[in-house]
Amino acid sequence: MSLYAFVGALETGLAFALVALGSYITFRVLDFPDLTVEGSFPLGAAVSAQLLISGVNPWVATSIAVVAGCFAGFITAFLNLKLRILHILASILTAIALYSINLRIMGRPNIGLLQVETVYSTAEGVGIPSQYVPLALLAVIVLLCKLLLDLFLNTGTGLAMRAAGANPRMAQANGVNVQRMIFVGLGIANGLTAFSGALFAQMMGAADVSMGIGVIVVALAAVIGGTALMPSRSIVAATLACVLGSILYRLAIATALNSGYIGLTASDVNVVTAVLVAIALFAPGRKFSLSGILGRRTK
Amino acid sequence: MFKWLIALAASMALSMGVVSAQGQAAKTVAIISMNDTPQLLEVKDGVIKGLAERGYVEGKNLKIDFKSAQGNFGLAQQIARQFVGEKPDVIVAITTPASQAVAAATKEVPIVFTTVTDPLRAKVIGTFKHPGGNITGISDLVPTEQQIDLVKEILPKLQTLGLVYDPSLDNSRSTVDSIKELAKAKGFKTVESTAMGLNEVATAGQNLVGKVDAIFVPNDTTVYAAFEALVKVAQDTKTPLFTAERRSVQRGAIATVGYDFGDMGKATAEFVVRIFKGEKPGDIDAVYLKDDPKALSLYVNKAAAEKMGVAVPQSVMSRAAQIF
Repeated sequence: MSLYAFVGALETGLAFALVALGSYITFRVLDFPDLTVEGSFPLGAAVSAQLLISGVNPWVATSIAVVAGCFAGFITAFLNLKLRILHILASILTAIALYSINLRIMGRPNIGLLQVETVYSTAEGVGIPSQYVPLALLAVIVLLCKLLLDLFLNTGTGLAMRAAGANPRMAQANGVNVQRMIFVGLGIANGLTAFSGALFAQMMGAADVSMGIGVIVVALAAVIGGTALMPSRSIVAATLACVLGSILYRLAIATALNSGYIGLTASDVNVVTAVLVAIALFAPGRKFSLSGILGRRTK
Repeated sequence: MFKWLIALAASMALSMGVVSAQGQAAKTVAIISMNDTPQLLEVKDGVIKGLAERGYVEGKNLKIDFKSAQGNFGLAQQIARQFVGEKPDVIVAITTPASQAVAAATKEVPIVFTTVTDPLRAKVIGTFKHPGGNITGISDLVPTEQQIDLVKEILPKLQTLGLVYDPSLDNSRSTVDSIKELAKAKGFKTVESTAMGLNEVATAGQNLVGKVDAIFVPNDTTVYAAFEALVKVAQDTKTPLFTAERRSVQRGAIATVGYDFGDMGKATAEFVVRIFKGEKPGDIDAVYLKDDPKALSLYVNKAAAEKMGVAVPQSVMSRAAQIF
């Protein structure tokens, strides 16, 4: 594998690490299987792209994209809590609706970003060689988000959210507003996902309405794989595991792409993903159980 | 669990150590496609055939590495990085998103894009003449004016034209917009019916039955993947069906003025060979395939026309390059 492919895997892994963190909040902390990410990831890309080609400052555009992602999370929460739609279905509905909304936002299926000012171009000239700028910027962003998330999940509200996910009835009985925790959690998670979408689109040179396809699988591979390889009770370790899981997943794919001698092709990626997640679940010392997957034990 | 990390690290180290043995004279072409629908594979095959016709034969003095991103953007980016790291002589990018991913990944390795309908809008190149930089290529912009004229020649009383396409494909969007402009100018109406995946193609066709005088498919790879289903709808309801390229006419559409994806690939090979011979991509003008007078031909499927209850006028038949 060339250095270029290696660095590329790190960058892609870091970009998707934010989705992994978001999915950690929904799948593990809140026990809410949230598939909205298939819609909120391209939503972040669409909003930021549309603003970028209109000449808006890249950081402002990306921030607005994050806010849009939060709203997507709120919609799913609303469908689940107020309209009493099953959580996984509510998230699928939002994701489906977002497909049309994203097309509307962009006006067409694809917006090119190659000669447009992006967050990466604003970070140039800091003194790092230009080819490593995206890697450095992403590393800083992901680290910041991870630390902020760790801090948040140890504040009063964060602890209440964790309680709401671990045992909703007990939490409610102790005065936690479980509904509000779900709103906040989904908002944060999808905000992170939209952030990821915006960063990835600017890295890839385009926002495309089909970008969300397969994102949830990648996020889950990162969360499940990461936390299985590094099981721990602490939040700090768990979020680190998600980030590392995302990076390792991309490195594994890059290795598979490079290993033509094994006879693997890019179209085998899905099988590779499934095998990786299966291996991670069978890692020594961990019982394979359904409740284990849904994370009832380690949060 | 660190055992697994060690295993992963070991396999990575192994792959880093493997250096592909390249003959001194062998040229390498890396081809990336966003997905592997049959039409896009035809482009890839066309590239390989075109290169063979010009003396570069796979296995002898040419090495081809083809990867499809399966519609997954994260994977497309990794494939792009993988290719750039291998430093091929040329990277051929099939479809708009693949071209964007490769263009973002390198400013040095020569890139030839193909099957991109609007490369200016996609920001893959800044200008067609002397694009500069490391990218050039061929646009498959559909010659909509000539095709609509053909439809009107076969169906002079056409008033409403139905359009079936996948709204997530930028290429189709461009063609549909172009047809809608033509409709305003030439005085007919258009009705759009979208199919988000190949399972919805038949339904999209059925939604148009009775509302339109004919159906047109704007070179949409999703619709082509399920084209037989649409043909069946058209035949069962006697709704004339037209498309923008040759192979689909063979499969059951009535007629087109166009080329086929294989020709697209062969034309792309021309660009690749010019770069092999030392030209810089930035100096090679990008082109629209439709502007090549040899590329467009009239194809008619007589049997299909009869099944849909359409009599193709003799003036069209006599001009046809090929009648299926």
